[in-house]
This record gives sequence, structure tokens and C-alpha cells, in this order.
Amino acid sequence: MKIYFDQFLESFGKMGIGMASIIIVIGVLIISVMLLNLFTSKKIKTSRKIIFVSALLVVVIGVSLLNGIRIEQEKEEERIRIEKEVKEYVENNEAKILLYFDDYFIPTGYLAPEKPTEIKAEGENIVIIYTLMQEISDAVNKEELKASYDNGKSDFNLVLAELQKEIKELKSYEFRVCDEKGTVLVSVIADGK
Amino acid sequence: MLEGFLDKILEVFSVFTAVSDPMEWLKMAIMWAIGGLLIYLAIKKEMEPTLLLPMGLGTILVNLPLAADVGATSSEGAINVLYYAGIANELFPLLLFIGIGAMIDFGPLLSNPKLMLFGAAAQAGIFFTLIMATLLGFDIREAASVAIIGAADGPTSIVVADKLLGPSNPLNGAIIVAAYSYMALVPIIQPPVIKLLTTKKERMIKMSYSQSDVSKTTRILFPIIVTVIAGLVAPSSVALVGFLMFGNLIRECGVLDSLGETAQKVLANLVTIFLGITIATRMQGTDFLQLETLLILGLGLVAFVFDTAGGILFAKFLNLFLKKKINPMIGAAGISAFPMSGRVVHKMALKEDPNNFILMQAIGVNVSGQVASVIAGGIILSMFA
Repeated sequence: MKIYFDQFLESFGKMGIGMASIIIVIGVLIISVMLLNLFTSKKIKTSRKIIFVSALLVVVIGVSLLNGIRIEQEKEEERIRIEKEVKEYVENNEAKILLYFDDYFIPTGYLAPEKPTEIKAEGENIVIIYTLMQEISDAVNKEELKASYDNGKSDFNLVLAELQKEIKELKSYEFRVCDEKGTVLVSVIADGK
Repeated sequence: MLEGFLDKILEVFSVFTAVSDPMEWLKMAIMWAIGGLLIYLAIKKEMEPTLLLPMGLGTILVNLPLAADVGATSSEGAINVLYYAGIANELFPLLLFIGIGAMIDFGPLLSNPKLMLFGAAAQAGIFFTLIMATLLGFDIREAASVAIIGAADGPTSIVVADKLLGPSNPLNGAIIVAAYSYMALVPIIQPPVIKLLTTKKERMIKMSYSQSDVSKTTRILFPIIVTVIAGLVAPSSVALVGFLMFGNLIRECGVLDSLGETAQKVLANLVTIFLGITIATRMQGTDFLQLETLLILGLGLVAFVFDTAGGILFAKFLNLFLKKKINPMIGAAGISAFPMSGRVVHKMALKEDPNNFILMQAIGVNVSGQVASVIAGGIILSMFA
């Protein structure tokens, strides 16, 4: 029978985390029950009980607020980091999207500039926005415009899979083609599968 | 004309022609034998009859050829409909937990909350089994689903296996059968392990018990506080913990006696009936008769053994620092098989010394094991789901 040592090592780590987590939770429960027994005991005055509960509430709310602020800051830093990484990649790898128009797939550089107008993180997605050139924008039948992304010199699926190893929240790329007013004409999603 | 008549007769008994592969018949026969064994264990040996009996008959039912109407081969069959109505969406185990919560008296635990540590230590078998399962080739989620057998808690095993593997995974049947069967075998599994890890002198340690009153307010606030803490610290366990504590709150509030009685008896029995026969959908020969099934049954036993060992060894570790020693056997009661495990430990103590009564401590630890096993299930879900 084959023995799987890689998985064994991974599970060893999980074992430690799991046992530690249970002990922490049970520890919290023990302390809570002891406090509960103390709280419901008649030996302590009601006024002190009120003070205790108030202090507990203040601590809980304070910790939650601080934690909330910390999480928001981390999210913002993460968003900026993701945007920077993707921008670098798009610039260094000549990533293109193709616009399907009149039975032809036409790469960016012709109907829209090669470089995206904007790259931003929106929730779990990286949004890459191209803007149709002004002269084309009026001529193109926007209802018939389609888009696809070009695997040419870059493969966004591979890029996405690599980024997802580090940024677990990242789910997909969305390519948007907009007119000069910012109206989204068409979008296509690459989900890294 | 005679031939035509014979053809018509054969059409009625079409099962004998529809299944022509002898291996299929062999698999069915083996599963009938397994179903029969479960029924025998339930009736003759009185091992968890509430579950093993319906599971046994269900196993026979779903392994009959062309049993589409019961749901063996048809998604519209009754058993499959029940399966997706109550097990695939984890509804039945959670409803059962309301009944279990209504049956549990947390008094001994509340008067001595430190006993919860033993409940936590007795979940060690889960994580040890996780390692063993990965070593034997199960991927990490399968290993976690197998390891949760060590929670010694049927509903928790069902919920975790469903969430990690999906409701239609062929391993689910073996996991659930192992969980319930080994719970029934606790009086056989635990004593040898306890004797191996303890000396006679340790087994004879007396523990005093002083009944301290637990106020009604404490009893009412406890389930609420546990639910909130579990929800905040281990959110994946909130469904399991929440339903268990809801049942307990119905019991302790003092104003819902009829609901409490209904939860303990009618609800628990009703759900158990559906659960038992519906689990059998995962007991079809093609899914069950695999090498993985044997491995799962073996690993389930490992989980129970190491749960027992974990609790005992923790108690022995504590004894290194305590002046007033703990009887290490109570660590073995931290397994979630309530109240069997507590009674096993109590009986073993009496056997060593007829004046040694450690029932209350053992039951307190046993009850804490129930809470700890549910939290362990939640932690497993948060780590692997």
C-alpha cells in the first residue's frame, strides 16, 4: 500500500492547529461558565454585577471596533497590492483583449488602446477596463459588440491560478470595454479554471 | 402458446433476467448479510437498536434488484426523497440535536466546569485519525470526514461528511455506519484501552463529589452563552451547537415542559426513524463494498481508541501537578457517547473498589464531551470546508 508522506506532513500541521483551537474554545467556555456561576451567585451585590456587565460590554464593543478598523485597513492594503501586481503583469506581458466586431476578432490597439484605461479591484474580481477610441465609439454598433481575451503571449488563466495561491479572495478577471463616457458596452470574465 | 405463457410469467419475475451479472448478485447478497448483521446486533445484542435496526432493514431494501420505488435506483424513490429532504441538507441531524439537547442535564458540568478540559482532550482521536487517514491515501477532506467518526456523535458525523464530501459521496455510508456502530461498541472498546493505560492503583483513586447548587439562572444562561461563544469563535459549529443548546434551553427554561417532553421523545424518535432508514441509501453494494470501507471501519476504531487514550493521558498529565489526584478513568468518559461512556467508567471503578463512586464526575465529563465533539466538528469544518 502506498504511503502518502506529503499529505501526512500537511495533516500533522492541521492536527496541531485543530487541537489548539478546541482547547482555546473550551478554555473560553470554562472561563465563561465560571464567570456565569459567579455572576448568578448571591454573594455578589447587584451593583457590582451591573458594573461588571457594563465593563464587559465596553471591552467587547471596543475590541470589535478596533478589529473592524484593522480588517478594513488590511482589505484596502490588499486591494492596492492586487491592483499593483495585476497592472505590472498586464504591462509586462502585452496582455490583450479581442473585440469581436463584424465577424472578426480585433485585438486592442486598433479599436481601443493597448493599455487598459484602468485596473481596479472590485470585491473578489480584478476589473480591467478598456475604453473604445472616440472615433470608433460612434461607429461601432454597441449592441453587436462582443469581447474575448487573447491568450496570445499571456494566459490569464495561468496568471489567475498563480495569483490565487497567494490571494485566496481573488476569483476572476473581468474585462470591460467602455465608451468614452464610461458606459460599459461589453464585459468578459476569465475565472481561472 | 405455452411458450407465450411462460414468457408472460418471466416478465412478471423480470428481476431474475434484468440483473444477469453474478458479481452484482454476490454484492447484493453480501449487503443483505450486512443488513442482517445490523438487525441481529440491534435486537439480540441491543446495540443502538434505534439506529441499527432501521439501517439494517434499509440496507436490505436498497440492495434488492430493481428497487426503484424505494429509491435505490431512482431519484424519485421514497428513500432518496427522504435523503435529500433531511440528510443531504443536514436537517435531520440538526433536528435530532434538539432532542439530544433536551435530554442532557448540564448540572454536573456547571458545578465543576474544569471537567470540560477532559472533553476537549478526548477529541484527540479525531486529529490522530486525520493523520492516519492521510497516510493511507485519503485526500485531506476525505481524511477529515473519516476522522470525525472520533467525535462519537452520529449527527455531527453526518453534517461534517455531507459538507466536506457532498451528500452523494460513496464514502458517507461507511462513515455513518462506523460512527453509529462504534458508539454502540463503547462498552467493548473502552475497557481494554483503559486497563492498558492505567494501573490498578490509579483506577482505585477516589474522588469526592460535593454537590454545589447550580442556579436556575445559570442553567438558562448556559445554553445561550455557549451558542454565542461558539458562533463567534467557531462559526462553522453554530448550527450544531445552536440546535443542541436550543433543545437544552427548552428543557431548562421551566415553562416549556410539554415542548421539552416532545423534543426528548416524539421528535427524537421520529427523526431517528427517518435517519436510520434514510442513511441506508448510502449502503448500496457498489458504493459500500470497496477497500475504502474497510479502511474507514478500521480508522473509526482507531479514532475511538485514541479518543479514550487522549482523555486518560490528559488526566494522568494533570495528576503530575495535582496534590489531590484525579482518577484518570474519567478522562475516558470525555468521549461523546452519552451516557454509555460515563457508565462504563463508573462500572470499572466499582469493579476495582465497590466503594468508589465516580459516576457524577464521569457523567460531567461525558456531557462535556458532547459539547466538545460538536465544537470539534465545527473546527474541522472551518479548517477543511
